[in-house]
Amino acid sequence: MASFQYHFEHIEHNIAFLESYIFVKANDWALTVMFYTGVHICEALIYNEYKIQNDKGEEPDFSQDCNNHFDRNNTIHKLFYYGIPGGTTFCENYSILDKAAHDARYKTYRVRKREVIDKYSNNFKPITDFFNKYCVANSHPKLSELKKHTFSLDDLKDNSCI
Amino acid sequence: MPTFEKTVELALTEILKDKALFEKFEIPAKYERLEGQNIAVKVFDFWHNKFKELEKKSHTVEVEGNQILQDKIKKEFEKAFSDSYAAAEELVGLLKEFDIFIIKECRANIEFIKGIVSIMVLFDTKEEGKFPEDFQEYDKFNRVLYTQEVELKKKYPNHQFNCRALFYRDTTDIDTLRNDYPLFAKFPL
Repeated sequence: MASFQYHFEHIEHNIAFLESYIFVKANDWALTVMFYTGVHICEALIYNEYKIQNDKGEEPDFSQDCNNHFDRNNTIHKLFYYGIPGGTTFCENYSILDKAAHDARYKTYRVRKREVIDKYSNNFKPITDFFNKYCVANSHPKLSELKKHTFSLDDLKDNSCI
Repeated sequence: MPTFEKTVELALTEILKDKALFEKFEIPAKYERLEGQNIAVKVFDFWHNKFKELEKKSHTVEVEGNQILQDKIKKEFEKAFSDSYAAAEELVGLLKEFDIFIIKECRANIEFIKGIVSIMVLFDTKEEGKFPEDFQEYDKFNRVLYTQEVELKKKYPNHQFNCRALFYRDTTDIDTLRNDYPLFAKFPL
């Protein structure tokens, strides 16, 4: 499995991509990049949790390598849903992004600008906040600050699809 | 293509190679017509009887086995259908509590071998012209889907659940949706 640092760099890379272009240009890809940023966050968390248990001399009862989204969802659920403050909400947010991105990519359903703003504020940002708290608690550097997105009233009324 | 007689002859010749082994037994035989090949004929005869017995037995086992398999598959199917229906009804019941939305349709798909049940709820806003994001409760509505997935997995451990909801006016490609979720739940909405 790739290291915590590798995933950390990809999280920052994806966020930079999200904020630089597609966030305002392509609703479906904005959701997708948010989700894949979430995937790297999950992978980094799984890597670190595995390492913590291993360093303690315990045998982790989960695999460090997730073969697919289904495996990853199960591992994240197992590690965080009950075990850590904010973990339940983190799992919910990740699942909501997973479904939204999947539907946007494969189901040819249209994606409204409003949905992107909704998922960014209610699901994506809380995921990065959770990750930052985890990083601080585990002596890792935090992610760079997300740009301050202030959505105008016009943005919030925008139901157009791309 | 060798005839049956040739095949038998060849088998008898092969049997004779192990003559010493077979001579250790007294083998009853129905046919002892072939001069010089008595042992081979007896052994072949004995083998043939056993083969027929085995063939009969394996046929019975196969028929019984198929029946057991069919019953098991039928039970699995029935269980998957009844669990999916109950799960969908439960989910819709919870979503109906959000009285700002109307549930328009509930569809499902069952992947039998993988044991995955996917439920898709199509909803609209009660107030015309409004969108889901206009309501604060929409976030909670989305979270119910995940919470309920977790609960359903506990309640029906044979299946993995995938619960989704789509805003009715966004679902332009209804054919894709019907293809992905071919089962239409007929309970009252």
